[in-house]
Amino acid sequence: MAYDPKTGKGLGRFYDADHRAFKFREWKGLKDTLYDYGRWMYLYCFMAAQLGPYAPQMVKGMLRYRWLVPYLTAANMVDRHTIGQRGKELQYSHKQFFSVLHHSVIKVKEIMQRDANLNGNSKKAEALRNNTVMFDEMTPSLIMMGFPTLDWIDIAMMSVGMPSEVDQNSCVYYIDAIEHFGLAPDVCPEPATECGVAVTDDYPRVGKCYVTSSMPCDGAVQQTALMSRYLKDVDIFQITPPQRINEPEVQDYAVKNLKKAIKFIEDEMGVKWDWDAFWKNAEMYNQMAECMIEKWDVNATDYPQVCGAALALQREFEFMGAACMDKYMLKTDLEVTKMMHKGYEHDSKLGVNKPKYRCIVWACPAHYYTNFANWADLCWGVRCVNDMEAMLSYLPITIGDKEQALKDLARCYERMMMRSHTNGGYVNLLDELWKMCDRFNVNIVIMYDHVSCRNVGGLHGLFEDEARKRGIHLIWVPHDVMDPRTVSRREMRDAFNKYMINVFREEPLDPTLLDYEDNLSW
Amino acid sequence: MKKVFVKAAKIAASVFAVTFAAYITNADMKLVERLYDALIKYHDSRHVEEKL
Amino acid sequence: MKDLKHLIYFENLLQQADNELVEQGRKDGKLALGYTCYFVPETLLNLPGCFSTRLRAPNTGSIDVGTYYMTNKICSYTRSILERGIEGGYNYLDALLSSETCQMMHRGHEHFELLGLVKNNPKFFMSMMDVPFSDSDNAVDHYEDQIKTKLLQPLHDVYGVDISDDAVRKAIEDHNEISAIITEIGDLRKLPNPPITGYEFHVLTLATYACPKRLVLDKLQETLEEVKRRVPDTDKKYRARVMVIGSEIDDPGLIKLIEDTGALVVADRFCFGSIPGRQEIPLTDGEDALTQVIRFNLKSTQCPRQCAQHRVQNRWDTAARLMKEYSADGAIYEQMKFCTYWSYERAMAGYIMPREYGMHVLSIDRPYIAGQSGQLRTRVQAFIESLEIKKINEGKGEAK
Repeated sequence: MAYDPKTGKGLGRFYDADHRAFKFREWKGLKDTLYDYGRWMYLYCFMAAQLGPYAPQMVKGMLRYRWLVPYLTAANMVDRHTIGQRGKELQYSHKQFFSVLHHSVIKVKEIMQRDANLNGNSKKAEALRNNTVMFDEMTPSLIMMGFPTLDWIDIAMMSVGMPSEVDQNSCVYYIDAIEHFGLAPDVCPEPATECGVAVTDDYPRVGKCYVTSSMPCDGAVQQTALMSRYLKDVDIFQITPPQRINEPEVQDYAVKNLKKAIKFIEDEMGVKWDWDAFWKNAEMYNQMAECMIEKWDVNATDYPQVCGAALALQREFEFMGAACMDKYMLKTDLEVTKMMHKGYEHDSKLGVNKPKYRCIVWACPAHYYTNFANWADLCWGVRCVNDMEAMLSYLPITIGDKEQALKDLARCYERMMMRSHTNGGYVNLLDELWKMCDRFNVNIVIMYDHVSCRNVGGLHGLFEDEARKRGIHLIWVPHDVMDPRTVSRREMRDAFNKYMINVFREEPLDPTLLDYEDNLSW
Repeated sequence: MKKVFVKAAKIAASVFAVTFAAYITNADMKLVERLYDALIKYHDSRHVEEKL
Repeated sequence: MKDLKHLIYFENLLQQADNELVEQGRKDGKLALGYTCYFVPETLLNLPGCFSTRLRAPNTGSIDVGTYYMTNKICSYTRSILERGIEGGYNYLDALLSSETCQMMHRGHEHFELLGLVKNNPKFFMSMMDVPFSDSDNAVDHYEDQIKTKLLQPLHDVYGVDISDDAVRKAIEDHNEISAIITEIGDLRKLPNPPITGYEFHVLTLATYACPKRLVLDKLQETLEEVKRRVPDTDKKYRARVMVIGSEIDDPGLIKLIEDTGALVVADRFCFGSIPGRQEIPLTDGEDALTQVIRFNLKSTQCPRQCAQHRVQNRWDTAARLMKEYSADGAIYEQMKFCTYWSYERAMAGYIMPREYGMHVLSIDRPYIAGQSGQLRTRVQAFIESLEIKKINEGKGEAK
């Protein structure tokens, strides 16, 4: 336990209202501190090795792109998610987060290598761009499974998605920029930020063509329209999967749309779809999905292992960022799965490490507070055993049958992050929650109340009614996904605290985490 | 051989001491904070034309 | 101008969703089919034995219960529909045909199913279609499948509605008949001194959406003849001609508010307006009528949900074309507050239309019932004055 009742020292002491960085790092005991230190060194060595050769571009990049600056704080992101953790929990988090950062650092390197804004007239950079497809965030790049000779970069993930999770204030400037054009402030900040990056011309130019989509929601549809205008000098394809995803009648249309996307890339890039490469990558996707399901199976027991952001964020990036094609992520998955089984055996044998409370997280998460579930565990003993956003596409791709494989691939797109539960009708969002509560044996749901989300908000009352009937504690935690000014991290914690104090009549495990100022923190 | 080993061990110990001190005091992030603030200030001072 | 003979009659019909003509339609044994979205092809809800009723919630006061279920970040149109539904205001419906187009309304319609809001009819069903984002051949094929599976087949299976090609052609014929009248009246707004105001036109158009069409046909026909003969005031009473573009307006009070500031609304490019919605659907014999209706629907919609580049461009070009056709001095881009689609469209229009098309634009958001808004009145008034001043200055410039 990180809180010492004798001395009153808890984890809250690391936060500094006047600074962004923690006051110091946590002493976790000799073994865990040395382990944590080793991982910290490894992260910096890895970053230095990958990005060191591109130091001039990195400096130029940080002066050119506001969104690149938060990447300096990568180590802080790990600290935020490992604070208070010990033993195998600490190891799970480090492994999971490192695989995310590993992928992100490589993508930043790739941007540095080929960005037209940073590389002037470099022929080498131009050649790399001509071999690269740009993707929009919320457009999974799984389609690249069949194009092994091409590179791809998700320009919105790298300039919006990742920075928003590393630094809570990274999107504010871009949101304001698009609102200067009269965009209503009540729309979801995610597509708004993506539009803001466009109107300030802050996207890197790293590819020959651009693939976007209508996913996951109304805001994304509109963002697509604006991006198409912004990137009018490149050819663009919109992947538009059906929304009634549970219905078999729509799948033919989904496959046709995907085939058109494949044709687009073939025509633009002058390469042909490679089925052999696709099968190999599909195998990788299947293995990763299998690892995720195993994690869920263990988390459904009395001894959950890989929990909170370590479970959810890694899966989100694995699918949305890396398109399940990152060998390092697969290696990590297999290692963590092995560790997890070992950890489960240990805990179940000795009957230890059972969480005080179990919960699942539902609805769209706050990008600016990715470690909220970790805080809930440390402060109140409420352990998040699964997260709706981690429950994205997990059904396998059929190997060997081309038509079926394309249907399966289309299904992956339909069930991507933020879509798997918000599209396809209320059965996916409302009814599915109760099934998951049963499956994971929880009676608490951290219900992310995204104040600009019409999709989930549209069923708010029904969630309340049904939760009451079932005796489920629905703890509504408001947030505004990428804009902490609307609802700060502190206000999010306050909403949770009120429920735990007034309804559960609980005392915090660490009182120093109850209330503290962290508006400046990354 | 022994001298080389001793020298290497001293270097390793020094590196460990310095890096560990930086790690536990969070000096790396405190330095990054200064850089971050300076860079954001620089970006705030830039005139950026906003256009659709 | 002399008052239109049937205006009060039509205004009274709009005071409630379940008005006397809807009741008459049901008494005549017709099925009342509700919908809200343009993407649900209205024509197909007027197959023999059916009539369409586009849902409105007139005279809505408090929407507290709708807000409980859907929160206050959902557009007030959706919440008002839900509130009225919970009150039993749509108990007359035999089916609600919906589409997963706008997130808010589709969630609103799901409540009809989840809360069992239509209690009078055990056969009532809510059916939701998957709508494509473009108008390509692929999109038309997909949407045709959806319409067959989710709209036509259920109507046939549950109520025995004739969904044959002939039935669809008859429905299109009826649609074209009423559209021809509305279009002919609407075209008179292109005149320098139109014999009909925007408010009056909107009342007539709304009546055709809210009531069984065959029951308003004769009065509409009479109104057309009356408007053709109507002598407008010799002095033009308006200061500027404006086009209104945007999200749904089923409250003619908003058009009245705009016209009370001295404007004349000459073109209604919004949902529940006539553009699109009251154009004749051209039919050929060489192809299924259903396919033609669907293609027409996907190609004529002006909904910002269609994000394909050529469709986005089409919307800008259409706005510019209509400005010219109706000799409008400016455009009011309006959106229902909290509408995501129109938030973005409006923001882009505010930038693109003045710069690339030379259009004078006012951009506003508004609640569902906006006829009494002083704030809105002030903004529109200022816009009209600016249009007036621009016209005067342009006139002076030409004189020189």
